[in-house]
Amino acid sequence: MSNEVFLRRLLRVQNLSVSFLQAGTFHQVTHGVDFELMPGKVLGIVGESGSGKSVTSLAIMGLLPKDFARIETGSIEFQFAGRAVELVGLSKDAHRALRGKGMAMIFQEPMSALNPVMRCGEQVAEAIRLHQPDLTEKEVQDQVIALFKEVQLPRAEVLVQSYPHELSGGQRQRVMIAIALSCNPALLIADEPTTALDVTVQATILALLRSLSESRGLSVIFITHDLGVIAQMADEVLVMYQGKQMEFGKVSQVFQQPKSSYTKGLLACRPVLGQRYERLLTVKDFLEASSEEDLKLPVQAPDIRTAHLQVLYAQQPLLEVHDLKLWYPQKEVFWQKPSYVKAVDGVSFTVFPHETLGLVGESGSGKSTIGKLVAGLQEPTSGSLSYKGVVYDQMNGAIRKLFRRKVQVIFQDPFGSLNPRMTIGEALEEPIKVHGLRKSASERQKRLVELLEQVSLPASVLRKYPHEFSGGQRQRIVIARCLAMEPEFIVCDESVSALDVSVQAQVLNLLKSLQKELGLTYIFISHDLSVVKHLSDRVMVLKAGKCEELQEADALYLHPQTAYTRQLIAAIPETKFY
Amino acid sequence: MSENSVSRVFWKRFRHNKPAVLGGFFLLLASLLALFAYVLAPDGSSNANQQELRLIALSPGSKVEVVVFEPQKPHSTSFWQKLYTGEAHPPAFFPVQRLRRDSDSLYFQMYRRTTDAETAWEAVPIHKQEGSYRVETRRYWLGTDVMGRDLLSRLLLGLRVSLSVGFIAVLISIAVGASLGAIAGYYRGWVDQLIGWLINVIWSIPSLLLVIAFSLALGKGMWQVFLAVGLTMWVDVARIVRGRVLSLREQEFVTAARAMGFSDVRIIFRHLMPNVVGPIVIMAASNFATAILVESGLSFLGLGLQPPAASLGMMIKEHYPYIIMDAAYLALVPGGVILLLVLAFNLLGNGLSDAFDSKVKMM
Amino acid sequence: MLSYLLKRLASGFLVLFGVVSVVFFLFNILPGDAAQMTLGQRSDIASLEAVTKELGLDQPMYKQYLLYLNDLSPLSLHNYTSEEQNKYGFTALVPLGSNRWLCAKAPYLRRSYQSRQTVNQIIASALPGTAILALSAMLIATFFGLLLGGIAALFAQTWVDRAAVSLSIVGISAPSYFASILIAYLFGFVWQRYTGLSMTGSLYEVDAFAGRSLALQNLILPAITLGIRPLAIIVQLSRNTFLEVLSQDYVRTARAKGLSEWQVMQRHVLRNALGPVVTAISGWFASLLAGAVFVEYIFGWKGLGKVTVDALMKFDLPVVMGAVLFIAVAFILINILVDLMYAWLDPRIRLQ
Repeated sequence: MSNEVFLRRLLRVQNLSVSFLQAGTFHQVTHGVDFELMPGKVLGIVGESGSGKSVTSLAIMGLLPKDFARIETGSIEFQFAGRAVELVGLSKDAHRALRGKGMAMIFQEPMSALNPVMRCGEQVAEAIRLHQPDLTEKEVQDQVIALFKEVQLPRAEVLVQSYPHELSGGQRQRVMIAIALSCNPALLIADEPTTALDVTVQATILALLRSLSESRGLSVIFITHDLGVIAQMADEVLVMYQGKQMEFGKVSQVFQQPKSSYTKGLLACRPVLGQRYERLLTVKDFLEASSEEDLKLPVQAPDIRTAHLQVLYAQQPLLEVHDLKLWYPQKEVFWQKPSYVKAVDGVSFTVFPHETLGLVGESGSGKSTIGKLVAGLQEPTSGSLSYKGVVYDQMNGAIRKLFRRKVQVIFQDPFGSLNPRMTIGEALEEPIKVHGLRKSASERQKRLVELLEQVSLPASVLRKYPHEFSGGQRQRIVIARCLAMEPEFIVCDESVSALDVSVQAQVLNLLKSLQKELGLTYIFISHDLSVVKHLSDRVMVLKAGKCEELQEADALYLHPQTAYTRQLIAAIPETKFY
Repeated sequence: MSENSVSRVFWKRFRHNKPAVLGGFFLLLASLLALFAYVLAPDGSSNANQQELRLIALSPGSKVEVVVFEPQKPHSTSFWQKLYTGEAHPPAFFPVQRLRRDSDSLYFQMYRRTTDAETAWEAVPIHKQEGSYRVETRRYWLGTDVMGRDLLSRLLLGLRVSLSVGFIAVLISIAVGASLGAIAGYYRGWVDQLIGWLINVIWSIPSLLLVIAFSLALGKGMWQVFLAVGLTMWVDVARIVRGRVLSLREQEFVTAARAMGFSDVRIIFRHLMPNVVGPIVIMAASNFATAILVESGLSFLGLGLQPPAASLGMMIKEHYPYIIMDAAYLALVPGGVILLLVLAFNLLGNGLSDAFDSKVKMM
Repeated sequence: MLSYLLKRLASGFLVLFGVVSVVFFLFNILPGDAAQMTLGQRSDIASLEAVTKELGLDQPMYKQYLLYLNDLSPLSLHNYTSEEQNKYGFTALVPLGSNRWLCAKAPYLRRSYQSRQTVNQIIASALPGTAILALSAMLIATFFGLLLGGIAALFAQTWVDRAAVSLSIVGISAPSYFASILIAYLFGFVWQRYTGLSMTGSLYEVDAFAGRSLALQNLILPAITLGIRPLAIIVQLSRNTFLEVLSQDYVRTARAKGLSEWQVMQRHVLRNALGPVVTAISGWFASLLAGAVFVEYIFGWKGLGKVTVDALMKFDLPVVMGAVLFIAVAFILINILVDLMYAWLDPRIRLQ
């Protein structure tokens, strides 16, 4: 390494290990992380939950909670005002002096990261005043407006006067970026800044960060779980897994010739828009693979698929939905005429037996509401739904109970879908009891074990409580509970969205094989078009409660009919290298 | 039960909170004392009401010799009866200064506070009495009150009243509050508005005055007081439960239960209620404390329990005029007992709420 | 904002209606003859009849209730006679035939059985004492409560914090009559020669020679006593709120900007923590109006609480009912004010 490079290097992290206080003792959460960052470059840190990616960034910022975390070993060298500063062991005040001017940070949840009772402009102005105390108030305000314009906020003069809750999620994140830029830092750390945003908004924020990095020569550490985002954003990538550094190198190099099996698995387990695989490879497959043969992706041949679809659509539809509407009246005062929030606004579709219909859309598109309406969990304002030819309104007594059993829902949040006070055994047994599916206790016990086998969980989980499981395991338990009802039709509402990508692949595979095995019909709802497309026979794109288009899944990707669908596809960050 | 069950974690956290554990032990002890008050009290008569005007306001630790007359036909009270209501017909007694006896008579001088004055010896021939007599030395550990009753016994019974009021009132308030709160939170809409209105109405009336109004409407007596206090305090429980249920019902496990076709009753009692147990237990502890305060306050005003029943509040009232004499402790000791009881419940409640939810401690 | 205010006022009115109904029925299903009971010893036939007539006790319950509502309502129906005019002091608005008029008046809370004064007068004369007492108690509680709560939050999990929290639990646990007696006894009797304060006394002392004079020193002990409980609660609440706000993401943002701890506290924490604390303080002020019962009683402080207790002892029900209603109205109004203040402090609520 030449001397010149050494001098220009902005940040150098060596052998960094951090530990956290848990139940009275310190446990190491990162193990010897090494990387460096040049000025004007973007470094992506990628990893799943618990990989230690956020901890590393907080250590650089000096924002680790002081009573609960400590740096065990390593050094963090930061170039500031022409000299190298060692950040490990730096005093609190000296570290604070670096924040703002030297380095700044933006977070995942821009709503909670902004002070709710302070105007947006003031939150930026505050930082400017702090670091440039000789500016006049007029100059400060001018700088705020200029920053708002630089982060491409529309109507900057108006938005400086707004409160955070009056802005959209993307706009809030832009305000956060403006705060971060206000003191002209050399380094910006972005911790999952687009995870909470819609995919089209994410694309614009990514473009903004990229252009800021180029125009200002700003170095960025971009933390994410999404390899696609890294491919689009970063020059270099650091892959982390369970606190350990798996790989560090140039993006092109890591993506094309990954060295660690973990990186390989991570690259393979995400569904890809351009291909139709029978199932997805998982990280586990890579970690346990004995030969190259195990890692061949089974691609579905086009003619088999055509034949499959022909059989599907020759049947009588299972579910028919016509002109479905759910409007919420809104009024300021009681004498006003109500205006309506149209959550679902005239949607019609049919679902055939053994089919998977995908619903995709951004937040507020009404996709989840449609799922709830189909499952009979909410009453529509108008429109008709019928299942096997029976109209919902006319179901009563035994038919209603049967419908409740045959049509099931799997929700997004595997933490919220299980009653924290019931053991897994109790939770699985309850529906069997209530619906009288197995009469004796021993029969029920047998059934429980069988159900757990179907979702590849051991019988020992029956006596445990939900909080003892990981997200993926919980989602399996929820699927088992759903299967306990012996359903025909399952609405999967963002069922894999909260899971890490490697776990997501496993659950997607499970859903697919269960469909084959049990002849299930799915409505699969997600904001993620590539996931929806991977699983679905047909896909419906929704926007603001209305159906944008409904097509066979591959055709939708290859020949989108509307501008919105094209925009949606374009916004998805793809890993072009694999 | 699994190693990591919610209740395990809870107990582990709770045990580390020393003040709360201390409060718990104190209350356990107090409950035992209250339960066996009539057996443990030196004066085991009903309401510990053996008044003796010669023994007014004895200082703590006083020893007095008394002659006790056993009735010829002793009233037999069963152990359980005694535990519940005390000795209904305690044997008569009188305090004596000095005793002398010969073959068939007993001679004594009546008890006097000052020993200088000579009192005539009185002879009590034994055979004229309906029963036999015995002579015993009574010790008044905490002295006597202004009616010459044993203060310790009265305190034990007052403790019993306080704890019973708390117990019954908490039962009533939780039964009413939890069901109304859960119904309001689960069904929302007009049911919620109606119950919410009722909650606000009750909440707007100062609770002491509401209890007074209830006890005026229900009449005077112990059970009426219990009921009045319970009917006032359900509001807090209902507010908490309603809020919790409102947020819980948005959680997916409740929607999942509805999707599985479970009945509303099942969802409320099997799925929602167990998740509200924490807040309810915390409320129970603080309501227990409030009930004790309200009952003693009511009795202090003379609107609660009626004499000769022993209530800590009434004891303060009876002795409050004497605080500027030498017997301030007569009013201060029952007050201190109330303070300790309430303090113990509050410590317990704080410990419980910390153990249930350690959110604040995280940072 | 205006529609929010209207909504709050409307629901406040509904609650008030409920309060009136509850109060009326609870005080009117007394066992026994109400008229007899209320009069106590002075039960000569004439006054018995007067009470019966005024309360409409010979009428069925629902008519008595309607009569009570009519008495209370600022818009009411009355016969235009000089007798009724004297009693209610109304302004006739709209004639409704046969000498019935729709009238406007101040709510009529009826008369005391004992003094024959109107309840309105009794409350008006007792109110200043209570208001001053409650206000001073709240000032003491707020000032020291916020101070101690802030200190406890700054030194969270140290002995300072634990001491503040423990002391506040003791403060919450002390029954107010016991605290009153103890404080009156210690400061007004045992240490009287150092403090120079007396055990009892009102805001105004009436002296046979000097007439009425202001006696502010009499305020000290009752105000401190009354302040103990709210003080203790404000300590705990403000401590917890401070800690909660300190753990928010936007505080992390503020630190990431490079603000000092003091600037973070002052600019970001304080305003966000203020909402819940303001709510608690105002709520307590409202309940202190009623909670002063024991303190006023023991310190002999002439105020609403003492008037209510004295009336209760004599079964002077109109006074008791009037006092309860008055306090409930104050409580409801203060709560509406608090909601508006909350909305002013937090722009998120303002929007709705």
